[in-house]
Amino acid sequence: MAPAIGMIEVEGVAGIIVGADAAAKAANVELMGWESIGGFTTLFFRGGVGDVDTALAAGAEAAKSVVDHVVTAAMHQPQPETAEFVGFPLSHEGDDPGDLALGMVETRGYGSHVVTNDSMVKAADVHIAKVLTVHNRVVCTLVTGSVDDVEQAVAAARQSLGDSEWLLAVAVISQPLAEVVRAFVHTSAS
Amino acid sequence: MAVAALGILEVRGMVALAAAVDVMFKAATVRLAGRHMIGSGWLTLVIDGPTADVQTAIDRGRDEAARHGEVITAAVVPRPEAEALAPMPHNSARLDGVDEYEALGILETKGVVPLAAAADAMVKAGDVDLAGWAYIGGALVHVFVTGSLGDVESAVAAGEPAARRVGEFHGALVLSQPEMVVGALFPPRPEGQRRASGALGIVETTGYVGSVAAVDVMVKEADVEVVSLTIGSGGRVATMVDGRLDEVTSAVRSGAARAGEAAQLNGQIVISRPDAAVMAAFAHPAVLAPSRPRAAEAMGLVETRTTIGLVKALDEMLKNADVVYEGRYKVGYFLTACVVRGETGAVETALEVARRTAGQYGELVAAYAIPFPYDTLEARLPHA
Repeated sequence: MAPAIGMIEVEGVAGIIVGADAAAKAANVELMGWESIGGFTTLFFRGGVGDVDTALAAGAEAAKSVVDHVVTAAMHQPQPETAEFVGFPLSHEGDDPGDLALGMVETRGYGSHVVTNDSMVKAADVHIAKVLTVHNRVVCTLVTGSVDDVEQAVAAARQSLGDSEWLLAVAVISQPLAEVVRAFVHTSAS
Repeated sequence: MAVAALGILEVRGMVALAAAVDVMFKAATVRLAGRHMIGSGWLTLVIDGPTADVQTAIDRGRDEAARHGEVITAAVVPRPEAEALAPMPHNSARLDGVDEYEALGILETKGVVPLAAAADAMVKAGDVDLAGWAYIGGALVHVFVTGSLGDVESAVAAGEPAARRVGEFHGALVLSQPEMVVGALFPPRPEGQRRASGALGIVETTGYVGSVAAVDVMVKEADVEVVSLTIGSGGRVATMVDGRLDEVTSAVRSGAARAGEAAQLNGQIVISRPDAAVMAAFAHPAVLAPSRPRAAEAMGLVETRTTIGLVKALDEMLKNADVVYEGRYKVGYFLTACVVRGETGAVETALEVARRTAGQYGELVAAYAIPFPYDTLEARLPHA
């Protein structure tokens, strides 16, 4: 029997990165990848029915700490066509992140990321790992480094944005799973 | 090489950006370092140079952009960590220019229907070269023309009322002897062939389902050729047909009515005897799939605003109705569609299931059946 599938959908991408990490840590599920339709992003993972349900609950709760709008669904006996909807399948490229933390700064607009990314690399020893512009106006910068450096960098970004109306989300995952990094840092999405 | 300062200007709309770029490079000695586009018409330009020059350019650019549209971000970063910022996508943009020309005209609209109307009026009103057109998100599209100042002015003057008659005009700009760097903003050169046509008809919808419904009825009811199905920005899809004026007129009338019934109609136009340059720019088969004909069973189309809604709807359709999955099409901007095939009754059952399911996970945009699709219709469409 085909494994069950779980899906988590949010606006922006930071919410499903945090959700993916929490889901895959909470139960024995395999990340399949994600999809964006310019507006919402959707995470796909698979596993046994119980594991998928557990992962969905944990992933949704974690995503809600980052964004307001979170929708989830499970398919216990999915049709095989579902796999075609995973626009950005999990990459098998890329190094294991080791002990690096992952930081996210998500805003509407691109210009502010040039400013905040500059302030992040000046404030701490972090690497700009990816700038995702997969959504209409939503841009998310992913940075890696030690936990302390990433925390410091993200704080600098937040300070540089001040009370900008365009700030959407800021988050740090201290020990991200390697597959989460592969799914979002080494993704074919740009 | 370290640069003294980076300047960032993000604006909404190509007219605002081009106007800003021209004054920035006239006012100060700066270099274009990159650009990036993120949808909804938001365009970012990155410059570098000595701090005082960058500051002057950004100040002047912000003011000029504000006169023509909306400024999102204007900022100067002194002593940037250029190497650390190198992976950012604005660094990989194409920045080369185009050949020299005396004047440049830009006209911007919301939707392809008013843009094509304006482009045709522009090339007919003045001896101008239609350099190309592009969409930048949020349904904003623009056209560039070049020529002598007098010709460009006549062209832009004729383009605005032509656009307003059939849709939303967003802005226009004429630059005399523009800075060479403006050339980096040019849309790609038209890929189509310059050729004569009796008429060009366009039906513009929001979403994929409305456009498929329109294509089907247009090719069934009139002797027209589908020349382009352009997935633009803001969820817009423009279906273009070519043929004799009476045939195109009848096709557009039927197509627009059917699109409005299936989903949302945004605009329609028939351009009689379009200029050869307009055919080259607009009427090329941009996204038509290679021919892959199959049995003409009924076609069921479902379009939603969320991927979860579509996946759940498809899963339930395949479980509860005797239909097969044919393909999907992602329009973007909160729109995604899928197509199933089967006997008419099975497709109707599937669509009922989709209506019940998709709504639980967000908005269902369209669930529409074409009982007897035009022979090899799917071969003309990008989903299969």
